[in-house]
Amino acid sequence: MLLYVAKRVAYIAVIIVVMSMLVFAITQIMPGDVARLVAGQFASDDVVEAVRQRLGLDRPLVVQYWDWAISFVQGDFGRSLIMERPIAGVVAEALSRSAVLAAVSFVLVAIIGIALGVIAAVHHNRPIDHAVSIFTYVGISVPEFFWGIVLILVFAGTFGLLPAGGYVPIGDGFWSWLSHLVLPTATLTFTLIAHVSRLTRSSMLETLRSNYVKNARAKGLPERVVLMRHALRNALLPTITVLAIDVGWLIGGIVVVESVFSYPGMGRLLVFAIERHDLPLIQAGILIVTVVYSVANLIADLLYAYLNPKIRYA
Amino acid sequence: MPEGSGPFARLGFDARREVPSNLIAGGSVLGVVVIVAALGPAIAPYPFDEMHIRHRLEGPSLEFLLGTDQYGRDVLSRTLVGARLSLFMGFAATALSVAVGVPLGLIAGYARGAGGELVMRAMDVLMSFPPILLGLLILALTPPSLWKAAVAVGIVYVPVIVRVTRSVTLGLAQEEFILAARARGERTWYVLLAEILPNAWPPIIVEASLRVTFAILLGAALSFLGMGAQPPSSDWGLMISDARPFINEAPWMALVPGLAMCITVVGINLFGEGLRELLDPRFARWRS
Repeated sequence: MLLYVAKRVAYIAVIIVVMSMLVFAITQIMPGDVARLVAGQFASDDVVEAVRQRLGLDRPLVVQYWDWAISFVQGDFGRSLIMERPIAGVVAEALSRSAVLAAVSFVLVAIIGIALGVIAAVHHNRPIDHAVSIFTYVGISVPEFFWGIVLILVFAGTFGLLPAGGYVPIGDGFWSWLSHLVLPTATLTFTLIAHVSRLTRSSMLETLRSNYVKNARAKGLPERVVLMRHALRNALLPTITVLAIDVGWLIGGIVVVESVFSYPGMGRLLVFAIERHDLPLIQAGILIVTVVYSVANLIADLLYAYLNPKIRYA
Repeated sequence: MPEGSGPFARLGFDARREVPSNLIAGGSVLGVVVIVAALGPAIAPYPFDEMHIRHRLEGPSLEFLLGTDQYGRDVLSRTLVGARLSLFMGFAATALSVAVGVPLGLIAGYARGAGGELVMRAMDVLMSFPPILLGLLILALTPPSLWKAAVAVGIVYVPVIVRVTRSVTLGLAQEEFILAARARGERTWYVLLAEILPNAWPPIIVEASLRVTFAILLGAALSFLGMGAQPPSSDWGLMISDARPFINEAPWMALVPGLAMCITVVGINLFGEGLRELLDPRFARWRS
């Protein structure tokens, strides 16, 4: 198991290094002269040249990458060209806001998704099963930004219960802060539940047909014990994998949902950076989100290995 | 080898097997969407970009059946014409994924050693990006447009196709008819193209058909973020994005294209799942 963990960690580390090179390379071939962008459209060539030297853009690419990577590891992400602020602060702020969205949605997806999957499997081919299928099918068939807008229409517009978007720091009032989270997390949860509940349902159905469940029933164990102790525990293994995949979906969903609800998190920041061609911000933003994603996948992998004795004892 | 006979025997189609009902239902829905996309401007009451300035943000009426947007453009016409953009996004992106992914998957599955390993590690790197970020990263390079978004989405889903193709190829490479072909001294490319590929299609087709909806949704999300189709195009994602500031005054602006997308995606999903039931022998066994 320890060897497996070491291998996985080393592998992810290599992947992250390669990704950082890819991100750096792609942003290098972006059209538009960064020095010209910083100096302003009407700056003279001398000024542009001076800016180029100040930013170190005249050095060989390999040197630039090395410098960038080293300071990145040290937590210095450079300065945003547009906002004229150190990126580390900007990103930390945005990331913490996105993390709140992600964490709440993830917990809701896991709990509601697994519960719906189990309910559907237990009531296999009965009306409740079909109702769950239709509910999740609708969630998966429509993009999150559409659900976001529908929720705004219903809860912010028609009933006027919740704010249509924006963000309030928790210091300015807990309830106000919370009310700004409800619609974005509801949107994310609804679009992600389908994967979890469908997979839980099908793996639950499979384990319910297995011999050890039949055996548990034959022993005369109460149905609740059979379901929770024997069936669900084994059925959850694939669910954990799909939850990890959902982290990727969650990050994608967050980019979109933050735009819908004008929520000032990492997703909005990235879209803003790309629109404005803010090179250092794009590089840092994409790399940080990807590292978060890789680490989440790593944790899911290790968790899966830990829970699956076939791998644990291999 | 697949059993059964008839023209589709190679794809694993068994004439004795019942055609799944969701294949029929999904196929009909998809058929309607394809017809709408093909006819597009011909059946739309107005040109998709014609502005009726006196009729801005009007609700559904006899003149404008599904209302108008902030420039007085007919929402019904725009949605009908938008069908072709959405289908283009779905099918062009998936075609690109298949065109790039299948050859790479064949190599990765058949040529063991450095080449195959390199392909899979490269795919690992691509898959380490969250899909939408990879799309944004690719699109950050140049001014956005619909076809560039389609290329980006196609690249995003290459690894999925590579993985499916590789796993089928790995299985087939051990089959007797492949060993026989190699024993005959057939060249590698002949074995791959003439022996393995024709038998590898069913799972690839199933995976690709399910990818189409992912491509449509991801493409719409990119357009929604302003990184795909550009105004005045009537892409559904862009239409919903345009509708955001007017959602309370003119909800039809978002609801109509959203519903159209929902119908399209459900149709293609049903079709893909029906296809899986038809082509995947494992699935058929589960059903019985």
